[in-house]
Amino acid sequence: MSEIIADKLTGKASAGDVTITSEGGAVTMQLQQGLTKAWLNFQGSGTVTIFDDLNHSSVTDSATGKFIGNLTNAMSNINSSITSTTSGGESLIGNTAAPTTTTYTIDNGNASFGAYQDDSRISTHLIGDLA
Amino acid sequence: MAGKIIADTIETGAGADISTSYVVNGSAKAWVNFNGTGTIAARDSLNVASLTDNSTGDYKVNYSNSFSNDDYSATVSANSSSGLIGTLESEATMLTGSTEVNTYGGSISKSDHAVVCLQTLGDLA
Repeated sequence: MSEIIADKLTGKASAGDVTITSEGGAVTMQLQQGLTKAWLNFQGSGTVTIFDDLNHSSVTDSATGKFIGNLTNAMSNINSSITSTTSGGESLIGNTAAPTTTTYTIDNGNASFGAYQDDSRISTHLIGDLA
Repeated sequence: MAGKIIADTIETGAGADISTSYVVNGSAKAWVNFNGTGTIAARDSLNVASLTDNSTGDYKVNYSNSFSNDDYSATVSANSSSGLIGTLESEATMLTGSTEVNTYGGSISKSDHAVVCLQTLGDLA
């Protein structure tokens, strides 16, 4: 078995482009583009607490069912693909306000989204380009 | 000439190692953020060739490179001031070359949304 020990991967031809071969071996794709740049699992009820995360400095409790995810390292633009799921009703991204390169809003509502509500577990994924 | 490394494991300087299979299998193979209103258009994407506007709240995301099977994991989110959520349309429309997604409004009927995001993880062909 071969092993690489390194702190950093940098593309040779282009620093920001490390290529991986697909599972089936038919194509290659850029590693950086496919990596999740931030993810979050937090308690959205009571005292908001981050259970675990990547690249989040904090979560802001704006109001009932309304949260802001604050990123440690900024994205290069506001066009990231962000998805969210909650343990209770429904969860929306970017409903209260458009995302910025360092923040995104999470809006949490009941099953019909007739009202905002806090839920015990809310998860988000963010994939896009880091600055 | 580009360099190439073939390895089973990557280890950080701190000694935390991870199988390269996690890097390859754990990377999203496709993602997109698109405007689902009016003339639909991708704001940013990976491995998405085009978008098809099937009907109100009904879209198809067409991949550039196909998946090796239709057992991939896809998640969808959407925004709307009066809206609900984005969902996968059905198992039947999760194909190796495309995925159909639906977005719903407050009356639980399909509606177009300004921001629709899809993330797909699985095995590329």
